[in-house]
Amino acid sequence: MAVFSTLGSHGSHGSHGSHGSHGSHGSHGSHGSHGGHALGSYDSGGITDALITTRDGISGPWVVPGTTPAEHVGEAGANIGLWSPRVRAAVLDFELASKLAFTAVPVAGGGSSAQTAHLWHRGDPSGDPNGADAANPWISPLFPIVKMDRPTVATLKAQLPFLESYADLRPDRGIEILEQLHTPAPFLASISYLRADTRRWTMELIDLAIRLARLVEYRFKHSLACRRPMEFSPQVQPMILTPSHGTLPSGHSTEAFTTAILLARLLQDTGQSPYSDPGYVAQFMRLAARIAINRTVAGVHFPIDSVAGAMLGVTLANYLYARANTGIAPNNPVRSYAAFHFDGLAAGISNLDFDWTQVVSTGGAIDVRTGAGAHPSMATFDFDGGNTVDLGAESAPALEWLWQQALGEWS
Amino acid sequence: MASEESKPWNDDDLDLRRIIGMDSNANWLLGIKRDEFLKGDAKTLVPCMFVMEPDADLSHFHATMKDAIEIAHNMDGVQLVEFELGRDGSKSVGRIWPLLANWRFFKELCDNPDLSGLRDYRAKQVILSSPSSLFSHAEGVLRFPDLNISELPDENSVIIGCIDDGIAYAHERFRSNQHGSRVFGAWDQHDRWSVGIFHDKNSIDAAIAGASDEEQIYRVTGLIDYRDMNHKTAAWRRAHGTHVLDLASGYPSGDDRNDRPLFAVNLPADVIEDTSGSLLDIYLFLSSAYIVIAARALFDAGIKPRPIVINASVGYLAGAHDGQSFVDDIFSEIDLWMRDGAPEEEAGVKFVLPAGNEHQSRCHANFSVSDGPLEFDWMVLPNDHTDSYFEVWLPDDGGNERLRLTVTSPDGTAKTISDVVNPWANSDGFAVWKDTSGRDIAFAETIWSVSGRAMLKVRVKPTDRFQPSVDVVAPSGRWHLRFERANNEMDGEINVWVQRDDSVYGYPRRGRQSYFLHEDYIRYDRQGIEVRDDETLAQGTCLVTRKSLLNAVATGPSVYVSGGYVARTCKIARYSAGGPNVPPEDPALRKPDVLMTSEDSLTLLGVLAAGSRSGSVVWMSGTSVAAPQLARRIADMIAAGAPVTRETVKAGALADNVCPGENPMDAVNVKRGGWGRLPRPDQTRVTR
Repeated sequence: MAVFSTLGSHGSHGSHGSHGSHGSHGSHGSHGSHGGHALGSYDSGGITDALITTRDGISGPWVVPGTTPAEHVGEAGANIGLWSPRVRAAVLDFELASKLAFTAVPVAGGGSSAQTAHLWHRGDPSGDPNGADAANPWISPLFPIVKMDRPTVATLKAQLPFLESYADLRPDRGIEILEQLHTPAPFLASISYLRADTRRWTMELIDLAIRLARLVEYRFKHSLACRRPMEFSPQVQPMILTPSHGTLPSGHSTEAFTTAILLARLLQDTGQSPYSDPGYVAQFMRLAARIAINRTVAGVHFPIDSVAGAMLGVTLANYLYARANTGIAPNNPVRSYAAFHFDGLAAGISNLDFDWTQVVSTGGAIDVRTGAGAHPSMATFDFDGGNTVDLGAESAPALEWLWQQALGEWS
Repeated sequence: MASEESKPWNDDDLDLRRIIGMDSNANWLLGIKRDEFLKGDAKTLVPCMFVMEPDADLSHFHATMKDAIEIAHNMDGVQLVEFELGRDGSKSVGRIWPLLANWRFFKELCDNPDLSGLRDYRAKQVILSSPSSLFSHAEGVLRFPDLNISELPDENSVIIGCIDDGIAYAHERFRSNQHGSRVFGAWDQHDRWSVGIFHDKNSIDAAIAGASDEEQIYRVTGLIDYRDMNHKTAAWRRAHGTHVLDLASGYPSGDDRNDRPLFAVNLPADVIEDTSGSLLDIYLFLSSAYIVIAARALFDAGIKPRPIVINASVGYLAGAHDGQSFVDDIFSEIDLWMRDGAPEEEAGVKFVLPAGNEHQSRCHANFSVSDGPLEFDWMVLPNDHTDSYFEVWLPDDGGNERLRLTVTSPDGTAKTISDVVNPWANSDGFAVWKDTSGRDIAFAETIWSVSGRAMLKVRVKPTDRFQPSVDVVAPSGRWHLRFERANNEMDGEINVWVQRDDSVYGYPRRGRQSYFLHEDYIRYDRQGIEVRDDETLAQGTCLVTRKSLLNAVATGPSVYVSGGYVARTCKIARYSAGGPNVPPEDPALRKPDVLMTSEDSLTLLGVLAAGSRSGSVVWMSGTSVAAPQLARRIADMIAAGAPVTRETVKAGALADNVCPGENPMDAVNVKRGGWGRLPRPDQTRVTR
């Protein structure tokens, strides 16, 4: 009777689930990958009654088992393949979040409105509680990931004309804007043949990247606390409800660039034509830029928000990539990422529009663009003489396992 | 009553109307900028043109202009910029002399005896566009830049120009894989506050090569710059100019067509947005001049001289409709100038224009008052943020004080004007409606056109404003019109057109189309079916008609005009407007010439052609998409060595008509069916 109740019916819609209109709950959608097994529900009175009477009917007298199951290897990355997607998501989220740190201080001498915030990677503990450095047990060194200086309100106000100018495109972009409210996944899927049933691990990786982006972007938004365009003028009149959090960095820009770049790098790593062709990278970048720009069209973001978000997205994607590859090839450059600084106080940014080619460099390795031709706010976040962070011998077996599973889906 | 009228300006001000032949839109065009223009900045220049009557003494006109301009150049405070049109340094195109001038020039024109030659030269018309500060040019002369072209097109090419809005000139359909961009020159006019940006084949090729993204091409060239507030049509998926140029001359880049070089002009967004077309004329002239000068450069470089084709899918509604208006002169003069004495089969410009989409607009009334006064209403809509106006064109019989027009505002204030000879010296020549605070809300005035016809113009201020408490707001509703003859000579036909005042797709909705109301006008028959033609029902007594709603830009003797039809049903598209021109009903002025597909079927709307980005296809309908198909056909005729004249186009239409059941001479077709319904020209574009 209850064959298609709760879990089952979700299952049949599984591919929608991973597209995650619930956003951060997207991983729940992966329940859907169980769909089609028609196992029915275990949480209805009907099936439990039936299971009880079935057991009564066939179990027979208790027999002491003759075999013992082999023990799982503890902390093995592959184990997460055994858990349900919801549990897996929690384990992976913990893996990422537990290695992040965030600090924020007013900029020295920068005026009362100046505010700067840093995202750090928390490295493996340097101390050894049982060894020589007993005085400093379990100290994690911090390595830079992203630094952001918030732009002044004058800069944001100077960007206001873009809101008026881009509003012109609202009738042209309305459908896209509404469909992009929650996740870039369907748009990524239209470029890369991404499906929840045939490429479930890649979908989980994308979901993970979105959750990482959200975790970080909200923290930056909270710290920088920049006002939304509609707070500068009663005439912006956004075509969607303005979100309740700060405007910079743009979350849509962050998420779109994080996922687009992570997927682009995954496909490059497959070495499989056509997915590794450079044309895919450019197309993913155009898509991410369009999603970001659409938020300005809608009236909820300044172009500079998209600049900051794109830079954050590129850096997070590369950071996640490095973390997912640390255990694979010791001393391999894939184990490093570069740290960057969004300088919201840089000169000459007030009347600049968002142009993704000024933020992302795709000529060689995909990374944040700095120097000539780059958006003036793009700078490196230097540490110890450079901005490259080598994760060294750190490993994150669960992340690595997921990456390998995803990679294997494209061969 | 008339003697109580007060003029809507202070006599101490510069009044442009004191200049004989001044644009009837002059003071209005300057609009909110009027004070700024009249009182201050000498650097704010107004594009204007002096136009001679057809039979005027050209050499005398040129000599007078030259002298006057030289004198004006040396006057204190006068700033003038002339155009250099061609290698010989000529400053005029035949009877048309364009200039950019500041307010001091007009002031001197009114008062200074040194300029009396110019001022008193009666047989002229001065056409204005609105002020433009960045047109100022240190040398006092504006030249179109030379074209940088590293590779010439085939010597047997047919040159095609397109004057439109939102032409994405780097689009794949306008390129060749082997030869690069087929657009050899492009002019982004942006807004009327700047001269815009010029591009040529080399700069477009470089932009394409240097961009990692199609959008970036246009950010580099400046076509799409979000720091500009104006509407950016090429940023939209459905871009009018791109669609139109694709229909006129788009080919897959893999075809490697090297024999259809293109010149593209993107008109200023504000010129497009103003659907009344009051800013359009000068820009049509400058754009056409740019294209023919560029085409001449290609001829000089070795391309075989032949007629060129220019498509301009633009227009407006009110105008003389007699083939003798200023905009008709633009096309004729450019054509003659380009021909330089050669016959039309061998040289010149084939302008192609749309018939317009106003057939069902209720914007034309046509009647005679010889049997007594006639009355009907003019409906001015609420929430209209732009002026509304109509024009009453009197017969060209040389008389005056023939007609008396009484206009009663919705709140009951009646004013009367007549076609007096010197309207601003005679209180019968103008009327002003005022609100309770004494502010002007409507004007009526008599204007004598360059062809000598009298025209009464009634203009009502916006019925809604952003700040109605500060800005003047006119009452919306029924303005009652009463026409009666003032003397017994008034026997001819009177034609009244409401000016176009709607909003263009994609642009802000500011204007609202006013229209005439007459009790005998039938919109739907008893079965609820829309009436498409006056002939289908007995509407003999109705003054408001469905005839002569033709695009007022498309009435001249030297332009080719296409209306639209529904390919599947063979019926004329419901909106496709027609002639015949009234008056005179000259067979040579019969318009449109042909019908091209503007709807594939009743359900598959419009026709397919390029969207603004390479690889995209969108539908667009209207006579704007019919005209470029005729342009393509004419270009192919020229390429095949066939002479293109009105007669050969007619013969081709009769021969290739795909709807043989439609008789071009029957009552409906003779007005708006052209000489035939033609198939879509071959263009390797998927049809449906």
